[in-house]
Amino acid sequence: MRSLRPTKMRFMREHRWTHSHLSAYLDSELEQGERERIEEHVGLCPDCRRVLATLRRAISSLRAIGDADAGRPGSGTSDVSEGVLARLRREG
Amino acid sequence: MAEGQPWVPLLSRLAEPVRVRSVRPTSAEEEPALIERAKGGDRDAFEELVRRNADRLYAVVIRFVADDEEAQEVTQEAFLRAWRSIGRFQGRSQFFTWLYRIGINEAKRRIGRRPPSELFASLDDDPIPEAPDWSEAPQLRLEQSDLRRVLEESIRELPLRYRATIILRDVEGLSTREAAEVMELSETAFKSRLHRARLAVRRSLDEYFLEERQ
Repeated sequence: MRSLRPTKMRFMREHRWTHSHLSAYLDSELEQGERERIEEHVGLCPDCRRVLATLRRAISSLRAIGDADAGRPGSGTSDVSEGVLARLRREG
Repeated sequence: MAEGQPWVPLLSRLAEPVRVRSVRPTSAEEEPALIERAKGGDRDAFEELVRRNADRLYAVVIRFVADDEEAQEVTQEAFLRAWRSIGRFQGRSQFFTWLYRIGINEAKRRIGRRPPSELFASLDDDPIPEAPDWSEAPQLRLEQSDLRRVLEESIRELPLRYRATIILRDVEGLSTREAAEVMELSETAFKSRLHRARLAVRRSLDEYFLEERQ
């Protein structure tokens, strides 16, 4: 049992490190060595694998909201810009 | 990595960077000229900047405040402040970055008047162990489910300083550098907050899919 302890400690250290760097991994903001460190741990840890997969989908879904909103009016004829312009002319 | 392991194809898909949407174009070639004219007191030039940026600022602000009316007021107030202080805009950041900062600060100022419960909402970002892996769930398509409602609610439930990170970076598609600049944070501090915010939103989806399964 004694020989297993360092392995488990190392696993937990890698688990915490991986968990705190998953966003940076998905944003391609890690160095190559750091990416490999994450990939090695994710290969061994089902929990991190699930969090990584679902985090990725969560971010994609958030981006999809932005993409859907990107179709909103932007031609300068919207209520929003008209309201701003009216206020500017009154108070600006 | 070991070939033939069941997780290898999955991991190779996961390793693909999340697609980064470019920031919406606003005829960038002309905007610096409009800004220079506006700085010289040209109201027509500033009004053109309003037309180009008002909807975009509104879309950010609405995720901070109570309703459409308040979002319109905050957007108007932000442009008024921008007009009055555009002489001090030095162009070190992009115009919309500067504008977002004014708008978000104005939204926060209004929220600051409300009871403290809204300001100190907790941030629960621990994964739920028994939650299913919903990463391949077909109902994740935004238009085919109430996923959008769940996402919007989970953003709104985030404490303010976390909410801004996810709105700017993920929904609006700003780069880390731009979004950190809007929030006047170092990139390191910004990334840390963003990660916690994303984990909290991810957890909300865990809860949603757990309920769906039961």
